[in-house]
Amino acid sequence: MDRKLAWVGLASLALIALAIVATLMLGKPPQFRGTTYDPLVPAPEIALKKANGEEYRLTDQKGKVVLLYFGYTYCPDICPTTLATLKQAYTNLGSDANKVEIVFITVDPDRDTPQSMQRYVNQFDASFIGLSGSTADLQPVWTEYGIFRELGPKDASGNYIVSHTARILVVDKQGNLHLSYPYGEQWQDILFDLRLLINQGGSQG
Amino acid sequence: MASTSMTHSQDKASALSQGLVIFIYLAILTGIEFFIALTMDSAPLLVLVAIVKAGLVAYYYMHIYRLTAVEAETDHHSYAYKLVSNRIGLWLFLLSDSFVFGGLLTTRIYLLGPTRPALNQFLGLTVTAVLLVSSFFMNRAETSMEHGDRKSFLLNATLTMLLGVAFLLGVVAVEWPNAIREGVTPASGTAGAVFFMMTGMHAFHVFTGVLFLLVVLRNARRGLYSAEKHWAVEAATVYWHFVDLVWIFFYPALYLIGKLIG
Repeated sequence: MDRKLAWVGLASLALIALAIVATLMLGKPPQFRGTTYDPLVPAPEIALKKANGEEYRLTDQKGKVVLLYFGYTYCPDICPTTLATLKQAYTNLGSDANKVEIVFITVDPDRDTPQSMQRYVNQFDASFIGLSGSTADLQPVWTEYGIFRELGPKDASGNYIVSHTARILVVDKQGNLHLSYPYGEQWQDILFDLRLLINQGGSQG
Repeated sequence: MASTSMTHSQDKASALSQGLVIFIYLAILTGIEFFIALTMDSAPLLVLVAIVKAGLVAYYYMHIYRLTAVEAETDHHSYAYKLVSNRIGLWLFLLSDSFVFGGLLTTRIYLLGPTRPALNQFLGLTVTAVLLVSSFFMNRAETSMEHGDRKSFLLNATLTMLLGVAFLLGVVAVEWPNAIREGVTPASGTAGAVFFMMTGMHAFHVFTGVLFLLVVLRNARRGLYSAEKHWAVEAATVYWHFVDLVWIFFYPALYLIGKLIG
């Protein structure tokens, strides 16, 4: 093989290696696909009863990435589809699944008990956590997380729709609100971000 | 025999080994490209690798520098003169064809932006490898013809053609049904439309390349070409490498660059 050819090969490799190093060094912090909280805010405490009577405290979950979703079991479409999306992302975590927790909190405490919430999420994955409480317990949580909630008119059978914020919120391992997604976010994007958060060392912007 | 002598500027052995070395470079670069796609979310890097690969193909396989190797030919009816104008004509054609592919690439960038469709990566890498190997054999075939080795030309050109057919089957018979099964169809939205338009247009060019090779193979078998006169072989070669070059950009554009959607 002649000299010039060897140089061409080396030069190409060198150029690409240089470009890779430059990209890594100029590296911006990981590009999340969700909307980032900027600056990060500590996630307000959530202290609600689980189905088995134990208390769930968000601040005890540090070290895990927690996905929070607010909805209700009588929700016709948005909640089941969102939970199905979260299930997709969760399933594809593989061995990282134990570092992620998915929590479904009700906006309809009159009909949803902790038990009925847990029964509901169990249909998606038994490791998901369903939480409820009294309206008095839940109101501060809704307020602090900025969750809009409006009960619709009751129909003849007493059923009603609850309009509610459908965003998915993500709390990182350090207990900060880090990301949120709109309704309809693709599970692949959520998974992508979850992996970034799981592999995060210290807190990053 | 002025300008035709440039095809003998290298001896056969070194020309063949050069072709192999370039193929190895291309293979390594493709591996690096795949690695970058897996580990870094960097479109500029992937474009850079594609440009380097394209440069290697354009220079060493398509020998674009022959366009400038024009010696003053006084006899406008000489083969040498016609060869020069043939080359210009061919490259002008390739330029116009580039507008088609460039337009499709622009459409992809405009419609899909920083996202890409969910496609089978293994399939994508496989058909890419098949096309690269086919270019290796095409180069080998051309080199053989340039040195008067008809048998070797026939063998290598046939291999090229068969690999081209394999590529076509890989795209049309495997990748397309697979995409359709995954919900990516020509009518399923912008991603599907872009995917089928790009791969379809490209596959059509591979198909015409195969036809071109069939004609050239038939003529070669009848002894129509020699080391000194084989313009059709050179044209088929350059066209074939052009189709490979397009895929060098289309592959990352469809399979590697951007975030997954759906």
